[in-house]
Amino acid sequence: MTNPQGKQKQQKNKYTITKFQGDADLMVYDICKDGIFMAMNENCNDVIGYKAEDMVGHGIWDFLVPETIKQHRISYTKHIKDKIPYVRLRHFFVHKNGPILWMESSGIPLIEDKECIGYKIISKDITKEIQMEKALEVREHELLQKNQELEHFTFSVSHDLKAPLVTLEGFSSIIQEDIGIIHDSCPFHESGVCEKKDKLKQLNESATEINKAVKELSINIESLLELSRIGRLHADRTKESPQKVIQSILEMNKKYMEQAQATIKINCTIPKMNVQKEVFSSILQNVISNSLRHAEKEQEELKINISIRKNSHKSVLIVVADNGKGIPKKEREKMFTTVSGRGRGFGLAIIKKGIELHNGKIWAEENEDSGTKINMLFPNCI
Amino acid sequence: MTKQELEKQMQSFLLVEDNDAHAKLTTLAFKRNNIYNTIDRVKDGKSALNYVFKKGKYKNKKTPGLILLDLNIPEKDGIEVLTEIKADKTARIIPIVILTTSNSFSDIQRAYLNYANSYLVKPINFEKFNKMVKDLGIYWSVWNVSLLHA
Repeated sequence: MTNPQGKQKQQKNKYTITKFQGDADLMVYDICKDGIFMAMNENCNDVIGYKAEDMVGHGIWDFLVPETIKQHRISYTKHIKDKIPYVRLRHFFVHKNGPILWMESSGIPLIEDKECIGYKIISKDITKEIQMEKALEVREHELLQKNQELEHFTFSVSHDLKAPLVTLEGFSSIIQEDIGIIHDSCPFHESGVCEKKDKLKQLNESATEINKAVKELSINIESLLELSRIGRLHADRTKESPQKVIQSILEMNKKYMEQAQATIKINCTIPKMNVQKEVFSSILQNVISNSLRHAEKEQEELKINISIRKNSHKSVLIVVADNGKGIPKKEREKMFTTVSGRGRGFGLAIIKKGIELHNGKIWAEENEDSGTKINMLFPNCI
Repeated sequence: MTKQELEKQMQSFLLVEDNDAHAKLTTLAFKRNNIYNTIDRVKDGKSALNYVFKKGKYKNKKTPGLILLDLNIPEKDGIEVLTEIKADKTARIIPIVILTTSNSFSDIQRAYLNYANSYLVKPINFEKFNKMVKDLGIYWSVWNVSLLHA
């Protein structure tokens, strides 16, 4: 930059140096029709390294990146002609010490006799924000890639684990069915003269054991896959009706409800909750099916009461209470503090992870008339 | 009508499945549910295409009334097979049902974007598997009107 000292001295009275009371990183200035700084506040020293008196009298062009000057000149001429404001224009300034700065500038046209004679502009150094934006973009890209890798991994795991299970369950069920058919079709069973009867009975029992183990394994693997999916879900929250979510879970669990002879009452006073739908549904599905499973042992009638109500300001308390066989105090206390779903598949881990994703809390209590009461607190969801 | 005559009239299904046990299980489930369509099975993508386009040892095969296609198969994967069949002006009328263990979103998306007619995830639970195969058999062999036999 050449410093036309003479010129500056000559026109000195035309230029003003101002003090701006606002943020220290804001440059506030006037430029004339030709882009010459007519007024400048002192902040420019902090922002781009030049003193205000070094800047006034010079064209804004001297401070831009050379490659961009032409484009800015064209745009500026058009702005002057149309008298339109600049709104958050992103451009570069070159700092006195060399670095290129990202700036964001907004300006209003200065009108005199219906003509635009220049602009009053406010500029902010946004280099740090841009760098963060760029870093975020890179991070986002990396995350996307990682997500795709995981998606792929889950596919191969789910395929590799599931394929033999489908076979196992299929054939053990077929064996069991066929034993039943042979048993039923043998005319000598009833009369007690069939010597193969005991063997068949034993075979049937063996097949049943295999079948049970396979079913347990299937549940564990399905849950494991669900857990890994939940951990990866970064779904946005949506407004969901908890009543509807619970009703569709009950629909899916119809068979188990019949088996446990369960009556389920829902008392819901919250029309909509802001939740990650799939995760929310997984949490409740696992809590409810835990209740159903805890009562399978010869209970006359299992009662499950689900209440959904406002707790405080923006939080919702969901309570699932059953009159099942209950959980021993010791086990109950650490139920949700460690991931140790002993004998319960990965259900507890899924519940725990899901609650975590909602920044919520979960704790178990003894229900008044025996059984268990699971409390779930969802903050900031209404 | 004898059983043989009935079988002749019925369309055959092509099962593309590399896993022997699954192929057997699927065939068994069809039989146990009294679905008597002939089921031809091939083990890889290349053979599937040869069968459909009647090449080599498959030159005397009739066009199948339905293709049950696994995604994770050797030679050419399920999506490639799907794409090639749906790109062919004659063969594209054959309904293709994807039958896989994968329920990943990207697979489901790729299947439908390449004109799969249906997408089924094999349930682990045999009761469900059995029910699914039964419904599938009844739907495609009884209810569905195929262009091949219209």
